Amino acid sequence: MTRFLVRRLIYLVVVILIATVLVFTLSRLSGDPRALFLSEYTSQADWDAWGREMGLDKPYVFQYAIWLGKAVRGDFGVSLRDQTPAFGVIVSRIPATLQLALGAFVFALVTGIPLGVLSAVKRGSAWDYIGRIFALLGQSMPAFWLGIMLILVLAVQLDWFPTGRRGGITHFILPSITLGWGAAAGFVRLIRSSMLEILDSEYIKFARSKGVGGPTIIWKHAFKNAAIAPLTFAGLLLAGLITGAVVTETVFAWPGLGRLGVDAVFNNDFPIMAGVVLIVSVMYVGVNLVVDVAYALIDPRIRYG
Amino acid sequence: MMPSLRCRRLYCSSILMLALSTILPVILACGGTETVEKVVERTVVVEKQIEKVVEKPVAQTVVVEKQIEKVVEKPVAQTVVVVATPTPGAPTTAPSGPTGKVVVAETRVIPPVMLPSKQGAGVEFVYVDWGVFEYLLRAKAHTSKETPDPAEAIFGIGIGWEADTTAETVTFTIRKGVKFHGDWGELTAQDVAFSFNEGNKEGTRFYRNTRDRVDRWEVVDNYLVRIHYRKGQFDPRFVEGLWNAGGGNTPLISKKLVETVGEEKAVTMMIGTGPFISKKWVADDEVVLEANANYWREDGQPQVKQIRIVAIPEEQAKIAAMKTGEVDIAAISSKFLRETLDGVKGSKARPVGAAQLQVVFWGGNYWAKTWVEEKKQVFPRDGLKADAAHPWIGDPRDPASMERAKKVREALTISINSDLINKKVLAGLGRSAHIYWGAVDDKSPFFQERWRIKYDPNRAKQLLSEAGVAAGSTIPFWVPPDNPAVDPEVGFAVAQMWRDIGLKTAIEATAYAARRPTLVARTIDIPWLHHGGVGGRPDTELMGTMRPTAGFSHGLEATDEIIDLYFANRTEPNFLKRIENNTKITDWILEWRFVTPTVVQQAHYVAGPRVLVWEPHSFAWKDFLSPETIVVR
Repeated sequence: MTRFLVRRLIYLVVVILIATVLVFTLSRLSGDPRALFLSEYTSQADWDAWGREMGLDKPYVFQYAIWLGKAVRGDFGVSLRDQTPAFGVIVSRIPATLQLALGAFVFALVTGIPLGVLSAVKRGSAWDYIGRIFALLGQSMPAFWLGIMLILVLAVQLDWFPTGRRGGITHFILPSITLGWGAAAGFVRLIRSSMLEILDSEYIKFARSKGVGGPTIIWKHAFKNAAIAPLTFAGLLLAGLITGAVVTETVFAWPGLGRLGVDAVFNNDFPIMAGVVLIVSVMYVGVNLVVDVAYALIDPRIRYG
Repeated sequence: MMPSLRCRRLYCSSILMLALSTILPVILACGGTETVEKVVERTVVVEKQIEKVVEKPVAQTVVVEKQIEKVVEKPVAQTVVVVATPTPGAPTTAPSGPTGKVVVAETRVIPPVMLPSKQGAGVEFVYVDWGVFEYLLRAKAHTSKETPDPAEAIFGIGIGWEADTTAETVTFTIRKGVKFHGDWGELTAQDVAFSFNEGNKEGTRFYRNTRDRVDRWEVVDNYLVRIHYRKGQFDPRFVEGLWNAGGGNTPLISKKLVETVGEEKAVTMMIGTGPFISKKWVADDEVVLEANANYWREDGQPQVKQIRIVAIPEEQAKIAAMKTGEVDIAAISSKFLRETLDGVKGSKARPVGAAQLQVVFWGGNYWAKTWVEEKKQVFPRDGLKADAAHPWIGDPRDPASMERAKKVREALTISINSDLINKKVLAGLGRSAHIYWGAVDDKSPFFQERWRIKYDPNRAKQLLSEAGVAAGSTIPFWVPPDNPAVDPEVGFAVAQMWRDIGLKTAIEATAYAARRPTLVARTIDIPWLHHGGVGGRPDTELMGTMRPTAGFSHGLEATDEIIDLYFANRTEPNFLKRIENNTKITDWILEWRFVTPTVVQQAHYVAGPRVLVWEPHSFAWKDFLSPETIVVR
């Protein structure tokens, strides 16, 4: 187990290092950040002075080494737009992103699991069709369209929810649905197929022949085993929800990491850009590691080594 | 297989995860004093030479004669010109006080950056427009129908000045009794000089149009501050670099504050002297402003107690928030203006800020040979690609190439039906544009009929044929999708009109930020759509962005002769001579079709039924402004 963990941790560090090289290179390839801020009145002296201040006068490798050295200590430099430490700016956005991601995750679980189970247990019935249509819609509707539709119907027409922005509990229902529907669709499909396979297995038939009741078979014997695949999916999904909420955050004016990252790209604010990608990479790789370990613990067929 | 212990653990952990996921978001979610004001009654002495101009008849059948008073600066031989002097007046009673709250939706909420040297291009006017900071000079309150008069820019913190053209200085008198927000005391000449010098220091990022000609600001005494120009750089239009009716000026900050808390902390402290005090300022989220009970300006007393400015980037979400009443005021594009007005009962549209010219710049025409300031030869630039694939680019070394390219630019210009664009794209709320000189429209006494662009697609086809551009040739066209002052729909309409004369138009929709470096580096070689300011003074600087510098350009550079004229105009003391020079520049642009104006687009905000009064002025950027004029139900 220790060897497995150490090896995975080494992989993790290598992946993050590669990510930092890519991020740093891409952020520099997107152009000289001075070009975004300077006006036509800029002199050569100004241009050079600002370049020195930002370390742009040094060779690329040195710039990367300096940035990485500081980044591991949580110093991503000063945001070119905010003029405050980039780390602080990024950290201030994490709660909003986590809130939205967890809201979406809850929505995905509370809708996806029951619908997936119902769809499998009542195969061919109205419930099955509802589950499958729910999954089809969730996987085919783009978030920007769904978000706007939810706003128009549930907020404007019915006045049930606010149109967006962060606030009380009612504020994150629509964004959570928008972000979580696609994930819920994934749950429905995964659980449905797993349940169908397990419900058809010998031990379930044996339990039935012994006279075990329906709910016990479904929830105790079938669902517990059918949930293994969705559980590993859930870990990656949560990481995906944390890192992939750009569109939902924009539609609902949600001040999270996704919007910060996109704005940083538009502003060529490379300290923020690199910091966001680094933090998101660490989150994603970290969740992956947890999932790998959990999977190995859950499924005896997976061996450490 | 029987259920195992691992499966039971798994089941339990699933339930635990579900429970945690439910609880965590919820946790995270919770995560009459009577004032007597003194009003200063001013006696303003303004030297003016009045010229009466009679407009020429524009049609055979109707003769319109209109007398226009034109303010002309008096040429000065003496060393000191006293332009304005204030005298104290009698006190009056204060208004009843601010009430109510208003919520404003903006597409973006920029970060709070107080130190001028740290402010990037185009943020400083937002801080002033939102009512937190103020500039040194303020024009008399004006509406969209008035052009502000520099001689009357004495209604702000600066209440008068003496200009010494020989010594190349201007000494400003500072208003007494202007207080910074909080406990940061009275604004004095020390603060004014500090603000400008801070913004002027080496390595500054500050976008300011006096940066390259000012040597320093000096404190004369507590209420007198002096600007020293570099030798030969005295700016006859100095008011326009310092007042509220333009961008790129310096918001005044407290020297004491910066020295007390240090630069690092001061950079985000939004402490100004404006009618509203910043209580909360979170970039991309919201700003909360509260009425400043100690604000000095009698005609600028805030009427609402609190203003919340919230960031809603998606326009449909903004419209929805207007419909539900969550938001009282929102910037709405021309395309959705009618829908919003129909959907929000009792709402009204208000023009906000200066209108914006939508201009096609013929990228790649780098004709300048000399970078005057750096005394460097810059010709030929990498972007100068006068070949068959770039038929709009002319090479000044080859007269035939210049003539061919001119025909192409002319053809593409006259194929644009700007009236139709205004009608269909701007819902009739804009107007056609004919010249790049944004302060002069076709009703101005300075407008020349020869400048009018006449839509003529047939002649356009003929010119293309003469230039050897075959039908079906491709014209690339960069239409930035994300520049707040550029309407991509206008670009799409222009592209379609080029298709209508037999060309293929390949629209490039690269984000502005990604493309801007090619403008700075002078490597862009395709036409592109950008904006230009409209309104303001007719003696404005033209062609500043079409000269070689280390900074921004419009992707083309004029000839050295025109750039010389631009520089001469910057220090030309005579108003009429400056107009004459701008006329020459405009004639040159017309002769070469160096740029192509299309339409003038006016930004609009929709104010909901709770907003009784709001009078946004028009000589500013097109963001939320004049908050002190808002009165709500």
